Amino acid sequence: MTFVFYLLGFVAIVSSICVVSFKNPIHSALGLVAALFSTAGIYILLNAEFIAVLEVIIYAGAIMVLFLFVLMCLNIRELKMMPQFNILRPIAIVVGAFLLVYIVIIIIQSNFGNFTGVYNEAKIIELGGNAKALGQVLYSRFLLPFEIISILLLVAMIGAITLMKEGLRGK
Amino acid sequence: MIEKLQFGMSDFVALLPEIILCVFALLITVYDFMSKRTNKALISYMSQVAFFVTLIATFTLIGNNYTAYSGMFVIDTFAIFIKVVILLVAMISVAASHRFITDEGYESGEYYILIMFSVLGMMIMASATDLISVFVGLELMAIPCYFLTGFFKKQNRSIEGALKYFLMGAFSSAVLAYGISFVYGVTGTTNLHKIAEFFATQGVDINNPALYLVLTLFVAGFGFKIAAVPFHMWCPDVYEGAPTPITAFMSTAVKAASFAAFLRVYATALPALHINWAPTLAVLAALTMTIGNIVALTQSSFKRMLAYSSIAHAGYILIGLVALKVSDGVASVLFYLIAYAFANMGPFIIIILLRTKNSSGEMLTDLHGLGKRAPLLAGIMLIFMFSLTGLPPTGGFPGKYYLFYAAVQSNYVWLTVVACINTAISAFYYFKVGMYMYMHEPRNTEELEKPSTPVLTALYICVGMTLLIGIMPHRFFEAAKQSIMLLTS
Amino acid sequence: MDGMILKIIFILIKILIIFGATMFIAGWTTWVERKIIGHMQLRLGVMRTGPHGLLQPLADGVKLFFKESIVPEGCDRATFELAPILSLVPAIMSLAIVPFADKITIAGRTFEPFVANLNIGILYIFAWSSLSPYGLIFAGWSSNNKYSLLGSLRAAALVISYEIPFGFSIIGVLMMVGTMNLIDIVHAQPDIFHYFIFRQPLAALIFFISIVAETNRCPLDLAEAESELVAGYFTEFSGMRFSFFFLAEYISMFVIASMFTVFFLGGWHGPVLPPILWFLIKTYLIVISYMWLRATLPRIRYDQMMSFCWKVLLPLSILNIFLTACYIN
Repeated sequence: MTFVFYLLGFVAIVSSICVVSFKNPIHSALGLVAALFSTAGIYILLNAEFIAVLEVIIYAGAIMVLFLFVLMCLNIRELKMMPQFNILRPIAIVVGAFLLVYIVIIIIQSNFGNFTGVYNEAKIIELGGNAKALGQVLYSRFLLPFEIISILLLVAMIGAITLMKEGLRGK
Repeated sequence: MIEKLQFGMSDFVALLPEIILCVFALLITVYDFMSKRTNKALISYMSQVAFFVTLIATFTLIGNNYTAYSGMFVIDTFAIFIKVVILLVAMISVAASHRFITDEGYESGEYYILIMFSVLGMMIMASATDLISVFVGLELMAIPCYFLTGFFKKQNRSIEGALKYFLMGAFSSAVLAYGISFVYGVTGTTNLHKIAEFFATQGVDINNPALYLVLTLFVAGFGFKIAAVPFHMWCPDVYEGAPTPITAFMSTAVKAASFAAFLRVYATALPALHINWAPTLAVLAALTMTIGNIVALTQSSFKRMLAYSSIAHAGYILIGLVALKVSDGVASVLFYLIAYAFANMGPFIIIILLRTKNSSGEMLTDLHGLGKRAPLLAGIMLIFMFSLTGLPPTGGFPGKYYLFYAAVQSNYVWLTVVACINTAISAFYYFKVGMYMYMHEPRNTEELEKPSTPVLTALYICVGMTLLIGIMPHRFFEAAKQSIMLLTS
Repeated sequence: MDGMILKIIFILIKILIIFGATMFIAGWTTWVERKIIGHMQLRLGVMRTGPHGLLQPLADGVKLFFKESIVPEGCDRATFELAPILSLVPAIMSLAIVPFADKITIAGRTFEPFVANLNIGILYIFAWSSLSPYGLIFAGWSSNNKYSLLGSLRAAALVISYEIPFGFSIIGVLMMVGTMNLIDIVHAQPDIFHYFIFRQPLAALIFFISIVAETNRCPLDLAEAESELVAGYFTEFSGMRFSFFFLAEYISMFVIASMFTVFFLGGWHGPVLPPILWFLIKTYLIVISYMWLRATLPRIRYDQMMSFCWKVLLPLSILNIFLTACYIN
C-alpha cells in the first residue's frame, strides 16, 4: 500500500512539473490529466472512492475537456514566454524553493493529533458506502456551507455570462 | 447513529437577513432576465429595497446570541454590528452607482445582482464560526468582486485589474484553505470554539511547528483580503481599474468583512497563541501603514492615492488586532471600521461627481481649483480628508485615538510611535488635496453635471456620519464595546 | 494464501472470457451493422467472404493488421501515438462492471458473472465515459489536419453539452432506487411493470439520446461527419491505429447499451430464457436501434445539437428530477 502511495505521489508530482514546464499547452493539459488521475488514485487508497470518481468525472472529464476546447479554439502550438516573466523567473524559483523546503521541514517535524472521527470503516459500511455517508454529513452538519456553495456556483455563472454577453449600448 | 438534519425555527431565524437578501437577489435576477433593456434602472431601486429590508431584519435580531447550523453560524451583536456596517456601505455604493454605469454605456442589471451576492457572502463571513463557513463566505464575497472589477469590459485597465485580482485572489484562497487543513490536522476540528477548547484543554505545544505554519498561512490568506503589505500588490491596480463605486465598495465593505472574519478567527479560536502571532501582526501593521503612506505621497492619480491610503488604513486597523487582549482592543477596531467606512466612501463619490466629458475626475489635477468650481463639494472633500488624517471634529480622530490607546495599553509603544509618524506623513498628501482645491486655479473649466439625488444623498450620509462620529464618538464606541462582549469570552 | 491466489486466477479468467467475448461481439457487430443497413436500403450488404459475408470481420481484421500505419508529417508524435490507446482504454475498463447476470450458486460456490461489483457502479461508468473524449480530442489535434482539428473541436463541444443531461437523467432512477450499485438497480426491476423505462420514461428518452452522442453514432456523430470532415478526428489514422478507434466505438456501444438495459430494461430479468441471454438480447435490441437510427435519420448540425442539449435536454432532465422528487414524497 505504501509503495502504491509513493508511486502515485511520484506520478502526481512529475506530471505537475510537466504541466508547468511544457511549452505546448495541450501537452500541459495532458500532464494535468495525469496528475488528476494519480490524485484520484490516492483518494482510492484512502478508501474515499466516491471522491476519487468525482475527481475524475468533474476535473478530468468536464473541466479539462473545456480547457482543451478553448486551447484548440485558440490553436496555440507553443507559448512564447513574456519578457517580464523572464526577469522574475529566477527570483520566483528561489522563493518557491525556499517555501517548499520550509513547508516540508515543518511538516516533517510537526506532530499532528491522532484523531479518529465518527466515520471509520465499519461505520461507513454500516451506512452503506461512502456516497451515502457523505450525503448524510453534507445534508446535516454541513448544510449551510453546502447551500452557500450552490449560490456561489450560480454567482460564478452569472458573472461569467456578464463578462461575455453584449451589454453595450450603441458602442 | 446517523446524523440527522437538525433544522429548527432558530436556525431559520438566525439566517433570516441572509435568506431575505438571497431571495431578493434571486428574484431580481429573474426580473433582470425578463425585463426590457430600458428598465434596468429600476433594478437599482429594487436592490436598495432589498438591502433596506435586510437591514431591518438584521436589527430585529439584536439581543439574540446563539449558534445555529451545528456550530457553523452564530448570531451575536458583533455579527450584527458588522452586518449593519456592510449593508449601509452597500446601500451607499448602490446609490453612488446611480446613472454611473449607464453613463459609461453598460446597461445591465447584473451589476446590482453581483453586489447583492457579494454582500451576502460578507454577511456570512461576519457570522461564521467555523473555518469552513468562513471560507465559503469569503469566496462568495470575492467572486462577485472579481467580476465587478472587470465590469467595464471595454476598458483595458478594468480587465487588467480583474485578472490580477482573480489570479491573486484564487491563490490567496488556496493558501488560506491550506492553512485550514493544517488547523484540522492539529486540532481535529474546524469549529472555532472547539479549536479554542482544544488549546485550552490540551495546552499549546510551542514545539509544534505546524502551528507556526498555520499562523503564516492565515496571515497570508487574510492579509491578501485586507491588502496588508507584503500582500498588497494587487490593490492599487484593482482599485484604479474597477468602476469607482465598486472601488468604494471594495475598499470599505470587503475590508470590513475580512477584518470581521480575521478578528473572529483570531479572537475566538487562537487567543491562546496570541503571544506567537501578535509580534508578527505588529510588524505587518507597521510595514503596511508605512509603505502605504509613503507610496501614496508620490501618486498623481487621486484614485490610486486613495488605494494606497486604504492600504495604510488597513495597517492602522491591524494595530487593534495586535492589541486584542486589551479590553478595548477589538472595540477600537470596530469603531475605526465604521469611521473609516464613511470617510473613505466619500472621496470616491466625489470622484464620481467630478466626471465630465473630457476627464474621468480621477486625477489629482482634476481637483485643481475645486474650491471655485464647486465650493460645496470642496468643503465636503476637506471634511473627508480631515477624517482620513485623523483630525477632530471628524470620526477619524477618535478612531485613531482608541486604536493607539489600545496599543499603548498592550505595551506596543513602538507601534504607536510608528503609527503617529505615519499619521504625520499621511497628513502631507491629504492636505495636498486641500491645497490643490483651494490654492490652484482650475485646469478644467467644464461645467460639472448636476448631481442626481441618490448620489447626493449618499454623499450627505457619508459626510453626516463622519461628523456625527467625530462629535459624539462615545455613543458609537459604547455600541462597539457592547457588541464584542461575547466574542472573546 | 492459496485461496487468495485462486481468487486472483479466477478473476483473471473471468476478465479474459469477458474481454474475448466482447472483442468477438464487437467484431461481428460490424457485420450486423452492414447487413442491417444494407437490407434497410434494399441492398444485400457484404456477401462475398463466407456465407452471407459472415467472415468479413475476420478479413477486415487481417487487412487492418497488415496495413501500413501512416504517421503524417508535422503531426504531434507523442499524442498521435497515445490517442488510439486513450480511446480504447476507457471503453474496455468500463466493461469491468457490466452485470451480465445475477450471482449463481453452483455446488455451494457462488459464481459472479461480472468482474467487479462496486457500490458506486454508475459513477465508475460515468468516470470512464467522461474520459473517452480525450482519445478523440488528441487524435484530431495531433494529426495536423484541419478536418481532424474541426472534428475534435466538435467532439469537445459535444461532450460538454450532452454530459450534463446524460448524468442528470440517471438521477431520477437513483432517487427511486436509493443506491448506485448496478446489481441492486437491476434487482429493483423484477418484472416488466417495474422496468424503469415505464416508471421514468422521460429519463429513458434523455438517456437514450445522450448515449447516441456518447458513442458518437449517427445522427450525432458530428466529430466524424464523413460527408463534411472526411472522417473527422481519425482522418489521418490508418492500419492498427485506425482499428483501435473502430474497436473502441463498438465496445463502448455495447457497454453503454448494456447500461441502458441495466437502468431501464430490467437487466437480466425475463421469463423462460437464462438471464445472461436476456441481458444480451435486450442489449442487442438497443444496439440494433442505433443502427436503425443511422439508416433513417440525417445528421444534425453541430450548433443545433448544442442548443438542443442545453436548451431542451438539460431543462427536461432537471424537470424529471423535480417530478421524481415530488413523486417519491
